[in-house]
Amino acid sequence: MSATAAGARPRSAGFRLTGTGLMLRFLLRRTWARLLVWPAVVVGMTAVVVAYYKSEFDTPEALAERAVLSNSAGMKAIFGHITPTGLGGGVWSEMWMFTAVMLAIGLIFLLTRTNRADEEHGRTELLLARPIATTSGLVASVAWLTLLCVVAAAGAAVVCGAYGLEWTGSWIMGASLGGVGLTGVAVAALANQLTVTSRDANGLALGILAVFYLLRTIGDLKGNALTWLSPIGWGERMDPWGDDRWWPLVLIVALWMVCITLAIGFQPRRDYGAGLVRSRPGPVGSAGFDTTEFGLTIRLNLGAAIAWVAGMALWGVLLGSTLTDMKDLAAQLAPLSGGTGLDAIIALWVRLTALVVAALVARHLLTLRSDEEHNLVEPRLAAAISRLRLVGTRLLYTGILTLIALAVAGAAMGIVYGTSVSAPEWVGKLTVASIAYLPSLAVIAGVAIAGYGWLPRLATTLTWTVVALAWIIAMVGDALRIPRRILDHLPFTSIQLPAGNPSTVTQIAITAIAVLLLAFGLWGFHRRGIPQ
Amino acid sequence: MSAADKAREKGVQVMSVPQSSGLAVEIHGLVKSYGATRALAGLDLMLPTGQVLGFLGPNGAGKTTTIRILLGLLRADSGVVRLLGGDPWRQGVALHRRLGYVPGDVALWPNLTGGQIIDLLGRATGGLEKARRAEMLDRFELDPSTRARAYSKGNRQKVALVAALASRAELLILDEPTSGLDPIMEARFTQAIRQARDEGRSVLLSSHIFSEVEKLADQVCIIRAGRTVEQGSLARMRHLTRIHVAATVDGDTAALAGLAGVHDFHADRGRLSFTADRQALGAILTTLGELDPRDLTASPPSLEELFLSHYTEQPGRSVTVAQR
Repeated sequence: MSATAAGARPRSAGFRLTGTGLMLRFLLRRTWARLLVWPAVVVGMTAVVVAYYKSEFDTPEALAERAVLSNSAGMKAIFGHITPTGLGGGVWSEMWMFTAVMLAIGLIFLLTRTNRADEEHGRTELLLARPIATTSGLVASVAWLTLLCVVAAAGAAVVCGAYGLEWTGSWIMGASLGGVGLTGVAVAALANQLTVTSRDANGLALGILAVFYLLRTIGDLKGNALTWLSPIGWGERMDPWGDDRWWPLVLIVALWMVCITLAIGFQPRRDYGAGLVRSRPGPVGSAGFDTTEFGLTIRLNLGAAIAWVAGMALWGVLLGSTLTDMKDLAAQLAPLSGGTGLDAIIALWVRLTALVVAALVARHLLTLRSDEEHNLVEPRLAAAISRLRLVGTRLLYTGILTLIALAVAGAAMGIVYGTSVSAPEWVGKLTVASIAYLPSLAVIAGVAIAGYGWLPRLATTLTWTVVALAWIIAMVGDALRIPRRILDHLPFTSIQLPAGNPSTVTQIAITAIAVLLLAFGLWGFHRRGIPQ
Repeated sequence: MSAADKAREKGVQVMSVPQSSGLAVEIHGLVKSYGATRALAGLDLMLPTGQVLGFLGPNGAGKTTTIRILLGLLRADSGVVRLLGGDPWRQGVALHRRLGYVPGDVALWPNLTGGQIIDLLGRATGGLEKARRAEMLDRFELDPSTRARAYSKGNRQKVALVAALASRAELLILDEPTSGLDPIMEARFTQAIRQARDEGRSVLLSSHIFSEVEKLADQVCIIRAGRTVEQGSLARMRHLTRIHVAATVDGDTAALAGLAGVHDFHADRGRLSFTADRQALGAILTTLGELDPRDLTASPPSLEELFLSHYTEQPGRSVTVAQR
């Protein structure tokens, strides 16, 4: 390209790759650790679950019993449904949905982090002033994340095959996991183009993923075609170790191609920093309650709060309706996680609810850290708000929202199930069971605040790691061979409500640990400099 | 409305606050390190109540660190820091009710409007008076209904400025407040700071813009690598430095060039320029007079020159401080 042509380089339409090599290297340097974590988690989870099934379910009878359980409506609703009943089927129903959705969520966050977040905070501007095509950043992110899906898929497949599972099924299983990951990449790439803030981009992409999940839930429950409207359903219907279908992968790749093409096509046509939504003028001032720290917290988070509460209500309704479908199966249900029968499943559903709310707790408290990074803590502290009040307000707000989310989800589940069995007492029972997780959730809050007070730069990673650990222990704790007597004293797994009553001493101890962590974090926050 | 609000509205509060030391800000021997990096190495600064202090230093000299310590956001390793007679680390909240702050890099909540943020920040000092708020919005031509996301850097700066200036805070801490403002807005800012001083408020003005500090500051504090190299009134600092002299003469300039107190002498076909020690001014003018000058200008150094002179010297040598 001659000098004059370079000067007159049109910014408009057209797919250009100038500078993509540079962006590929740049992105790798900045995010290699995060890029490695996901394949490692996927492959590690697969290995743990396969090893566990191989040693524990060593008879066809045990596997058949397990298959009956995973064919029950509730399990189908939450974890998906495939046909095989052997070892592969057991492994699949234990881990596939959880791992695939986790991978998709992780990739959504990663894509936004390397795209809209950079653009929103003006970091991309410096790069775009260089001879680099506008789309090169997007292309580089998509390329790396797609490769990540492929690596995770291949790793999971090799692990399954190496443990003696049939190779065709193993490859299909890996491909279906990677396929759901690709869906996350595709949806996020599009969402990043449409919204202006990284928060909205993540929200939109996660919302679309939730719709996909719900579509296949309803489809699996009713046994109808709705499953086929969802990319998660496509992955599920690849049916590893059963019908071993490759062709749904074509649908997934096609969707990926459409979304990526749209995103790449839209990028050079839009303004830097812009999306589809334009900001409108707002109030010229605010008064009274709005200008207090608590009022500000509510105002800034109102949209998210409404979305969370509505989402948790929907979640409760969904779980409640699966119980309705399962109640006839109760007699056949094998022990799942302490307790027996339907009560154990109900207890598991309530625990899942609490684990979803754990993300709410982490996200809301970690805004303290992102506010600090964006210099928004400084003006509050300069404005006669004490450090205790700043953190205390955020804690109080998160606590109230947590309580509402738990109660709404529990009550919704109770209303749907209670109506179907004509036992209205379930409303109260399940509401109480949900709220009983408050001490466990307070531990998550404690970890977030302790991290914020003492290791602010690591707080976000630390907190989400603990949330992920809580999930993993609760979901596959048995496969990790954690003894029951330990699980009985850990946050989340120590509660079996309504199947069994938790130990009061344990819950008091968990609460005490949470309070200590909170106090410790506040102490650290009072001692340290801001910003850090 | 509380009694305090009423008092504030009458403008009583500013006058009624006791200032035992007469200093709005007092810093002695302030030290702050980040690991091995020493950000502040014995900084001194004094802002007498009711005055404007220009706080000057190059990038990385420690201005923002000093301001953050004054706000109680960072803790000093050692040294004395008094803000409005209190300890900012321990009594931050109470002290913040009496000050207005404009950070160097104004960050705002993207989904709130400018007007909402102004009211939010104004609450710290007990809420803003409607008339003053409207006056400042008008003066800085800021649209309060725009969401902060859509503001330019200059407009973000204006949001923080309006909130601070519309309050009746007795101390204003301004960290490079005009970066991003156009010359018209800079002039309005100058006007607003003069008005604040006339109201009896104290102003700590960190800045890179010498003309602005020259116009506004009663006192100047120049720091370098975390240390104060100069603090005093601008008039006094000028007094301690040489005067620029330029003249056009006919005679032989050799006698003048050799005179004690004449420095940086340049002569080009009768056009002279040199700097003169104030003590030797009499003798120099006598000699100059004998040369029959046709033209003569004498000017004190600009603040910029004062500032640069501190930075072109070898580190550790601070002549003017030694002379005090």
